[in-house]
Amino acid sequence: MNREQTDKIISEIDDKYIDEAACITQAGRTDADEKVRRRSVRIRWGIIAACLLIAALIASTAVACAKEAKEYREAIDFFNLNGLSAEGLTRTEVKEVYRDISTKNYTNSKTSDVIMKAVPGLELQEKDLSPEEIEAINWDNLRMKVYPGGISFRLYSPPSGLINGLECYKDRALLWRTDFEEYFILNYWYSEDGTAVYLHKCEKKDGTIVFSDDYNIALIDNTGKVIWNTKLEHTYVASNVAGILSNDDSTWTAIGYGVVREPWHKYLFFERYDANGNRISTHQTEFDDKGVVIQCAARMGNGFIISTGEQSLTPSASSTLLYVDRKGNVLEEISYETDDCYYVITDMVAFHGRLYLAGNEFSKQYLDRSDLMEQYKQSSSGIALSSDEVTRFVWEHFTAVLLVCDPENWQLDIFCSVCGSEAGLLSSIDPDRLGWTVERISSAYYSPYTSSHTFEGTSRVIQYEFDPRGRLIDRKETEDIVYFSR
Amino acid sequence: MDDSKIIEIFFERSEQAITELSAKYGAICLHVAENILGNRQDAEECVADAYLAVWNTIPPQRPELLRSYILRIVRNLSLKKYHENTAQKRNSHYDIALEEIQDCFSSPSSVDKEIEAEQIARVIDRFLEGLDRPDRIMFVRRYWYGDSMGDLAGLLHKSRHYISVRLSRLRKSLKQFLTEEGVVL
Repeated sequence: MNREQTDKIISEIDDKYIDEAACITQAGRTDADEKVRRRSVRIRWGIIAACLLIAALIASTAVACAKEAKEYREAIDFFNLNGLSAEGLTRTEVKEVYRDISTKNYTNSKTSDVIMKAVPGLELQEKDLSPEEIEAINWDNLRMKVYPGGISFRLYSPPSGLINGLECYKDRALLWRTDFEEYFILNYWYSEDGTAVYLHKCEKKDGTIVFSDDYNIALIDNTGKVIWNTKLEHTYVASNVAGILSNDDSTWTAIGYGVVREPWHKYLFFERYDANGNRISTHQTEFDDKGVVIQCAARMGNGFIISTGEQSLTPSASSTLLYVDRKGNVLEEISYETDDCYYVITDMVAFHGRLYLAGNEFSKQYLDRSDLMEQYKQSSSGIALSSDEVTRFVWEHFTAVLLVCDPENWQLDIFCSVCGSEAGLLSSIDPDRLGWTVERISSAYYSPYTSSHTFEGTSRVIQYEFDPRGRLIDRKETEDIVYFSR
Repeated sequence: MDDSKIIEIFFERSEQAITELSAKYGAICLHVAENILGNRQDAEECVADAYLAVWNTIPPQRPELLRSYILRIVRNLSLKKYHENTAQKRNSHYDIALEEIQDCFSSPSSVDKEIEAEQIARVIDRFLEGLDRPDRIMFVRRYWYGDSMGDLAGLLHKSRHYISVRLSRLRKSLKQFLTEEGVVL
């Protein structure tokens, strides 16, 4: 059908739909509006808390104005369009919340309630730490991983310098400590069913630590006792385990990738272990993307969801998610990217039928290293950057995001984000509460002498909680501090 | 001012009616015209012509929805002007939107070749009726108003990527709906 006929058809759309669509805005848009406003709403926690009293005063002294009806209609349109609930709000409150969101000038306590309950794409804003708070950070007590619900882990090293001990804390009180005297701890994953550990075997010879070619996986129960410790029976010349997941039936699945040579091939592998650590099945799938690794993995329905991407701290692409069945067959492949940013997934969890993904947003501007260094030079003398400068830069460019995916259509979208932060971990705190830890960068400094990263510093852990409908129901500022490097 | 009051002033033949109409709906009229024409000056001319058309048609007409009445006139005048300017490079937001949706109507069935645009539009109305309000608004804003992806992202507080994916799915659904209704093969 030609253009004119198409014109004619579209022109005939009913008046009521034309009118409905017009009421969303009556203002023409300028070029500046072309910029994508990816996240709609900001919450300034401090301001909201401080303005509770002001809001109450405003409510008690509110007077009707001539534009009341018009403004109310606009507010209701806005609520409907954005899936906000006006339930329990007075007419005045509906207008005030609308005004707050439109002007980004948060004066009403109801605004945060409304936003927290509904808006996908919510941008959460954390306050900056004061110099006194940064000064008070105890560097000797840094956690390595902080899970929602108050569980945290710390690796410790004996004088030999190897990391071969793992400590588990609940609300910063030591729960257990487990040593692996002949192993170096490469990674670990906590779940209610226990903590699975990935180990590299080593031994001390003539006072020197020598690594063998053997890799093990082990399971620690919730008292710190090692339930099993099993050698990985691989024939790969190189491999890495990216996740050891409980199957909820006392079996566990190790997911990773391995490389064979002559000819070169890379494989995803899925190995299932019984309650005693015996391997009961193994599957592998070709995965020949060079430079691509598995970033994290999670169970989902009858299969697994795997995040793949670059290992680099400065990626040139977003993560690609693979949904695979238990035999490793790839059933879906999805990714998420915007004009301005890449998204690298760091943790995932299925919760009430939806997949939640924690990750970091990488501004493409930040990733342009030469441009970045130019900014440095312009903003300071040489590379002798102050911690304040670096911290401000990091706050501006680093954003933690929580994405959500509906497995019905595999559509992926940003659920909420936190500026100046890195994504932490996701897990169900209880059957009806999803927890997400976010590492709010407290201080950062330029680290020119390290080859693997440019910035390092510390982050304070904030925990957000969501209900089964995805509504934000709580936020806690924990006392946990984690190390940060990028 | 209330729409019914503005119409009353038109009936009184007071030029104040045009001032009120312009104050209330001028911005969105200009927005629609500019989306189609991609040119501010032409858009302003079309909007001015539309005011005159409203002046000439009210009375005797008394539109139920004044906003869509004026917008429809603006759109028709803008399209007319746009077709007059076919020598110009086609690069307006509306062009891009039109190209997107053209594919939905690309294969009129042999049986239904005679279906008039208006009849197809009624099928589209039924399709729109079945959509969620945000999807319906997104669709109408894109294809009737000719809003850009950036406009829609701003209006609906979503990412451009989200808008793009959502519209693609809506077009796919529309095509399927039109097929089921026997409008296209």
